Amino acid sequence: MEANFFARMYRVKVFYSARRLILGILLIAAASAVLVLSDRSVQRPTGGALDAAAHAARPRRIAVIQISSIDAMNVGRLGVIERLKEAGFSESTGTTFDVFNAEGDVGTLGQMAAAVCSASPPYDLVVSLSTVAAQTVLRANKRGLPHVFGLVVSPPGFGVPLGPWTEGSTRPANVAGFGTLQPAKLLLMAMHTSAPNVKRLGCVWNPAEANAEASVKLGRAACAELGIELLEANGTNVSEVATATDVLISRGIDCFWILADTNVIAAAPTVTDRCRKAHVPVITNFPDLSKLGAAINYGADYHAMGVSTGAIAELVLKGVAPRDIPCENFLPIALQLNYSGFGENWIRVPELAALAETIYDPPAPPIVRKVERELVPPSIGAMLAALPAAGAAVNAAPLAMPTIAVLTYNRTPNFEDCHRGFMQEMGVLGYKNGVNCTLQLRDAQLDIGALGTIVAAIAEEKPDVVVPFTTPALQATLRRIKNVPIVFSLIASGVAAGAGKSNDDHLPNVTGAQITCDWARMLEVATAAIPNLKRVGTVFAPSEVNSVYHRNEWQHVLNAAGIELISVAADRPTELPEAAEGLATQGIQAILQISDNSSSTGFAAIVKSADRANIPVFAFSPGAMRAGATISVSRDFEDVGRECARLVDKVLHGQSPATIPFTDPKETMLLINPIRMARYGITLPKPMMDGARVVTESTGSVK
Amino acid sequence: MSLLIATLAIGLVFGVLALGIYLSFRVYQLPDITADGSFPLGAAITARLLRDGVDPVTATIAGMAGGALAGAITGAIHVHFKVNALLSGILVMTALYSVNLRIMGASNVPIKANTIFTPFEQGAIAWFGQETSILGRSVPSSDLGLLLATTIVVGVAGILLVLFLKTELGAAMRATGDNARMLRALGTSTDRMTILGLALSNALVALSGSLFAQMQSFADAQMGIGVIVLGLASVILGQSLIGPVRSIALAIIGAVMGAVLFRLLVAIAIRMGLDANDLKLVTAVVVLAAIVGPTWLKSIARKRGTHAPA
Repeated sequence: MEANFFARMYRVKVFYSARRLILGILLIAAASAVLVLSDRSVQRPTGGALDAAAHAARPRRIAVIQISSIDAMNVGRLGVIERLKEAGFSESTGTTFDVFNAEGDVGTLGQMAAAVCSASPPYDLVVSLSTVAAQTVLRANKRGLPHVFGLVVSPPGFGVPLGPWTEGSTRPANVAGFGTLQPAKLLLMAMHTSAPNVKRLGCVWNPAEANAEASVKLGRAACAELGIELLEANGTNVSEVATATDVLISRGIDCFWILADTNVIAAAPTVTDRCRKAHVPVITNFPDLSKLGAAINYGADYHAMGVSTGAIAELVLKGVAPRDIPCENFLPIALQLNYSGFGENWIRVPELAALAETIYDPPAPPIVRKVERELVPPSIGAMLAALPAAGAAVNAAPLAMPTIAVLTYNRTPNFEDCHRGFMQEMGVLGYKNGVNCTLQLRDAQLDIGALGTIVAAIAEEKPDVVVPFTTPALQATLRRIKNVPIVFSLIASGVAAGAGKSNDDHLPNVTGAQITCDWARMLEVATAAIPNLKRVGTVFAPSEVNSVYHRNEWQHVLNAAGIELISVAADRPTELPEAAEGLATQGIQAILQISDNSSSTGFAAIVKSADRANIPVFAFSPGAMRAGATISVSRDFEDVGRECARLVDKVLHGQSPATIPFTDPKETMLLINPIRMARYGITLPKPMMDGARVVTESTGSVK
Repeated sequence: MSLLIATLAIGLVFGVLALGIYLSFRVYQLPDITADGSFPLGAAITARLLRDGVDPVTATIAGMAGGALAGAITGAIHVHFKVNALLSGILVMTALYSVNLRIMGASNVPIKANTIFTPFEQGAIAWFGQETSILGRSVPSSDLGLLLATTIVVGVAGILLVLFLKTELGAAMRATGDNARMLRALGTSTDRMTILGLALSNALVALSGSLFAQMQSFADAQMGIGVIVLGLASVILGQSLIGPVRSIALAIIGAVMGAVLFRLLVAIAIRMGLDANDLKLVTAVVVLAAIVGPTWLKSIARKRGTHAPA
C-alpha cells in the first residue's frame, strides 16, 4: 500500500517536471525548425570553387535557347550539344541540357530568357542560337551568367563588336560568340555564273531582324556589282512571307533568294512550293534547303556553326573567361546544288559542281561528297589546344551567381577603410550584390559565441568564398571551413594566425591580403625628420594578436637601427589616455605608433598626450592623420581591401588559393601635416617631400 | 541543418557556462564577474597545454582547475578581506587578463593538436563518412560527433552538479545563499561554502571556455568579453521557461535549455540575413520576446478564463 503510494507520487513528480519543461522544449524545437526550414543548403549541394579541376569536374546545367524549330536552328543546336558531349559534358558526367524553343514567338522567347537567367540554382552557361535569341538573353541576363551566342550574322548589329574584348566595350565581359556573315555575294556570283539571264532577283525579309538586314545589305551591293535588280518585300511573320513571295512573283522576278531571315527560313517550304509553281528558280544561303528543290544553296553549314558555338561553350566551361575569347566572323561554308530546281536556261557549271558536297539530279540518286572544312574558328581551335589537360585552367570562368560570405569579429576605423576598399574593388570587378552575386557582411560585434555561430551559418550555406576580416574571424573560419576557399584581410600575418608556415606554404584553401607595415620606410622618414633619434614610444594592445605582432616586428627593426622602443600596453580605447600619458612622459623623442584596432579607435587620445609633452606622433595608418598625426608612413588600408577583392576574383575564376601566396601591400604612402611639422620644427629632404601628400587635420583631405 | 547542429553544440558548451553562472547566482544572488576572466583562463590553459603536447583530457581538466583556483581566490578575497563580492570578482577578472596573456605567451594561440572532440569527430566520420544527410540536408559528420561530445559533457556535468548539490555539502552551499545567518547558527562555515561555491562555479565556466577553445581551435585573450552577460541571459531565460521551481535538477536543465535557446535565437537572427550592424539589437529583441512571450500568453489565457461565462 505504502509502496504504491510512493510509486504514484514519483509518477506525479515526473509528470510535473516534464510539464515544466514543455515550454522550453517547444521553443527549442520551434527555433530548430525555423533554422532547418530556412536552410537552403539542400539547393546548393556543391561547395565553392576549390580548384580549377574541381571547377571543371562538377555537374553543369546548360540552357540552350533557340528562337524557332527551323532546320538550321535544330541542326545548329545538335552541333552544340554534340561538341559539348565530345568534350566530356554529357548527361553521364552530370551535365544537364535544358533546351528552350520559343517556336518563333518573341514574347515567349523573352519569358524563356527571363526564366533561364533567373533560375535557381543558376545555369552555368546559357547558349543562345540566332540573333534574336542572343539579343533577348543579353537583355535578360542581369546576373551576368556566362553566355555564348551562335548562329548570328553580325554581332556588331546587337552591340558586340568584332575583335578582342576591351575595357568599356559594349560587349559584356560574360559574353562570347562569333558571327557568320552569310556569303551573299558568293551565292549571287554562283547564280550569275549559272544563270546570266537572271536580271530581276526577289527577296523577302523582316526589317526587324538584324540578320536579315545584314544579308540584304550584302545582297544589294552584290546585285549592283553584277547588274541585277533586287526586288525586296517585307514579311514580319510566316504568312506575310508567303504573301510577299506571291507579290514578288507577280512582279516578274527571274529568281527568288531565301536569305538569312528566320521567318523566311520557317516559310521555306511554302516559298519554294510557290516559286516552283510559278517556274521561278530559288537560291538560298542554306545548304540543306536543296532538299526542298532550291537550285543553288551556298551558305554556312549550320551544323558546323553549332559545333563552333559548342567549342566556345567548351572553352567557357573549361575555365576560359568569356571576355578572353575574341569575337570574330567565321564561315564554315557549304554548297549544295539541286539541278531539278534550275531554270530553263541555267547552266550546270562544272567548277561549281566540283565544290558542292551534295548534288541532287533526279531521278538519279544524289551525289554526296565529303568536303573537308574547318569546324571551329582558328583562334578558338588554338585556345582549345592551349587548354591544360583535365581542364586545369587557372583563369576559369566565374561561377554563376557566386556567394561571397564576409565576416568580421568587430568594427574599427581600420576595418571600415579596408572593407570600403574591398567593396569598391568588387564593384569595379563587376560584382553587384543581389544582381550577379550574393555578398553579405556579418559582424560578431565582439561576441565570441556569435562569431562561432556566424561561421557555422556560413559553413552551412556553402558559399563560394569566405572573406574573414580580423584574426579571430580567420581562426574561427579555419576551424570549421576546410573545403571552401578563404581569402582573408585586415590581418597582420596569416602565418601568426595559424593559416600556414610561410607566405607561400600555407593551407591549400587559404590565401589573403596581409597588412604588413613598411618598417624600413618609416625608419628612413623618422630619422630624417628627427636627427639623432634614439628613443621612441608606441602604445600596443597585448590582447590583440596583430598589435603584438606589429610591436615585436617594430622593436626588432628599431633595435637593429640602434633606437630604443618604449611600449606601453592599453587593450581598450578607454585605457589609451592613461597609457599615452605614461608613454609621453618617459623621455621619448616621438611616438611612432604601430597600427592596431585599439589605437585606431582612440588615436586622438595618443595625440593629445603627445601634444602636452610637445612631441610629434608618427603613424602607420592614413586615418591617423585625421586624428592629428604629424606624419604617416602608411599602407593604404583601402588598397589592402582592394587587393583582397582581386584575390577573391581570382579564386572565383577558379584559381586555387593554394597557388596564391599571402600578399603584402606594395605601395606605401607618405602623408604629412605641414602645420604640425612646423610646430615641431620638422623638415624632410626635398626628394622625400616631393613624394609626400599633404593632409589637413580637420578634414583629413588630401591636397 | 549544419547550422542547427553547430548551434546546438555551441549552445551546450555555453550550457556549461550557464551551469557555472547559475551556481554563483544561487550562492550569492549576485553575478560573479570572475567569469569574464575564468572563461578565457580555461581556454588559455588548455590551448597552452595542447600546444605543449599534453593530452586533451588533462589539458581540459587543468583548464577547469585553473578556473576553480580563480573562483577560490575571488571567494577568499571576499571572505578574508571583507571586500564586496562584486568587487572581488572584478579584481580577479582584471588580474586574469594579464595571467591569460602570460599563460598563452601571446594574445592568441591557434590549436592545431587533437582536442577532446577529435575522437568523437573521427568516430562520426568513420561511421557516417565525411558527410551525412539529415532531412535531405548534408551535414558534416564531424559536427554530429561534436554534438554528441558536448551532450555527454553537459549531461555528465549537469548530473554531477545535481548529485553534488543534493549532498550535505551541496545543501549547505545552497543554504549559504538563501540564509547564511541560519547556516552559521547551525555551526557551518559559510566562508568555506562561499569559497567552495565560487571555485566550483568558475571551474564550470573555465570548462566551458576550454571546450569552446577546443571547438573553435583557438584561444584568444579577448574571448571572455561579455560571457557573464551571456551566462546570465541564459540562466534567466531558462528560469522564465520553466517558471519558479524548487527542484535543482529542473533549474539546472532550465539553465542549459536557456543557453541552447539563446544560441538558437542568435542563429536565427544571423540567418535572417540582417544588416551586420543590427545583429545584437535583433538578438536582444528576439530574446526579450522569448522571455516575455510565454508570460504574456499565460496572462491572456488567465484573463480569458476569469471572464469566461459561467
